[in-house]
Amino acid sequence: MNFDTTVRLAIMDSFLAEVGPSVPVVARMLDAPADDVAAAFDRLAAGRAIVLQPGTHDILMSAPFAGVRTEFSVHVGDRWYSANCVWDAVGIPAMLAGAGRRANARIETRCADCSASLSLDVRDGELTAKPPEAVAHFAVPATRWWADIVFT
Amino acid sequence: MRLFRSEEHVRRWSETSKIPVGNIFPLDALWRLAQLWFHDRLSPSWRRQTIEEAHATFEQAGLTGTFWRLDA
Repeated sequence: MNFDTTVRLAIMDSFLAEVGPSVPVVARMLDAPADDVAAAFDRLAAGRAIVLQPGTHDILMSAPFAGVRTEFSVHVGDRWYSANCVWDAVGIPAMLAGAGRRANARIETRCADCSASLSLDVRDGELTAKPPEAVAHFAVPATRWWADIVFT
Repeated sequence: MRLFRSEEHVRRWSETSKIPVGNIFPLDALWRLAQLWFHDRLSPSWRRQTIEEAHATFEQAGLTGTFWRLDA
């Protein structure tokens, strides 16, 4: 496994443990020089595996996780995660199920129109509860997703 | 990508925000998309999908049309 993959997986493990994955955190996890980890962050960002806050090594996104608090909360066991959008929110239990890990989750967000609370449940790898008329909406066509990934 | 109580709420939001309606789809398609897109994200062998692979993923989730084309 190459170093960038090791760093990417350490970032994901850090998010899963509810520890914000910074360069110092990942360097400690891997017992690696911080400069090497920072360079890996840059390469991962260049390859769009992660999104950094401009001019920093602070992780804004490592899909499906958000590096900042968002309106998409995902509750798995006794842990809460923030996701970047509703796709990523359900992506967290989908990702865990794909890895053979616990996949039961509750996703909590709000209607983007009226702010009513909306929740989804995932149990044993299936979407088991959802508001009856709720729909997902994507405003940005695929060809423009990366023009402004934060808005997307 | 956001969640709305109903299609009516998407259209009301669009009128208020002046952001055109993009693509509205059911939550079963959302879940299928998430499974296809994220199932291998914790694997060491994960890599970003090619455009062709992404298109195949969208189609498997039932999401078709130019909105879902990365090369449109």
